[in-house]
Amino acid sequence: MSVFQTSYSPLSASNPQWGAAACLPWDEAIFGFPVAELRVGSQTPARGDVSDFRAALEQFAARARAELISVRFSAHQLAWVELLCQAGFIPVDLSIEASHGPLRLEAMPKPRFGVRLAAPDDFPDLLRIAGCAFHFGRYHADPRFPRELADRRYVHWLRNALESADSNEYIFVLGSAAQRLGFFHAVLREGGVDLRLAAADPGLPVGLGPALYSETLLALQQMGARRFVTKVSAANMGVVNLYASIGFRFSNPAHIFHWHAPGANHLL
Amino acid sequence: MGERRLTPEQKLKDAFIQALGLPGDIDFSAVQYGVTDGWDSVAHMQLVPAIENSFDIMLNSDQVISMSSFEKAKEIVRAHGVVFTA
Repeated sequence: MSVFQTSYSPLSASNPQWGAAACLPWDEAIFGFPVAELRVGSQTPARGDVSDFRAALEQFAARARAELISVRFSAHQLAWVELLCQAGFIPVDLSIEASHGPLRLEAMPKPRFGVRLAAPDDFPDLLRIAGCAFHFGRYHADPRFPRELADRRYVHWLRNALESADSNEYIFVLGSAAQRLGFFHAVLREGGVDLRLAAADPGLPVGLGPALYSETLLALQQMGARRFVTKVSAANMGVVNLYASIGFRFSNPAHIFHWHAPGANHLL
Repeated sequence: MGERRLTPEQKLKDAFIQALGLPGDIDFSAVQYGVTDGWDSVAHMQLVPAIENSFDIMLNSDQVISMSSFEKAKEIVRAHGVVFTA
């Protein structure tokens, strides 16, 4: 598995307080063209500086050959909303954190299908599910981003997780080898679980997300998990309702905006 | 006070009404997963035990997965020996 590193540099040398940007090499490796991320700084540019801010974005994008720049920032930073929209960013997602302490077993649905750790025989089916199950997230929600590339990103994500040598990473499979119904990627460290990526097979007559989530969470708790955290797209009502039904609490809403470079020829 | 005896059809309808929050006068022949308001994946996992409790049966995983309409649910309950009269 490749290890990528990013190097953030000020978006504007004369105004480093506006934030820093870097290309995301893991996404470039998947998409075949550079995309970048902006981390907003301590100070929002003044209204009169919007054109300079936009020029700084264009210069960075030209230098890095980045066709898209994303930014994630607290939904409470209202001044950035106005500035970024004026600079040409569009909103693509609202991310929220979800968390839960120890599960109360009596409140959880009875396991019906069974979860187990993924084995190599499972990989093709799981990768197939990863390639067609996702409809949310910033790339899927960006009207100018090719759907096929957004889907491919999740396939790569899962493949990397399946090949990971990190003993804290787990891929659970819902269902038997004869009928793989979904997967769940989670990282368990010192009793805390980061719930990373999950999907039930979208080709089934009914959604099995609740079974996948509840059975995986119970399995993780049996492995020692005492706290569960994740990030969810607020547009993904199915998963938000699912976590709410288990008793997760939501916090830290964050806007995710995209900016498209002029002349970006891989975008729609 | 004597317990009201329900037909299997009415028991199944009651399970749907309670688990999915459906109005009592809904056209059950048109009730479908993902189409009928309230029948999403979370509600499905409440509907399954509601039906099991109503009929004292246990659905297998294939039946849980394939139960995508009221008519299909009837077929599945029937497979457990419950007789629906016309």
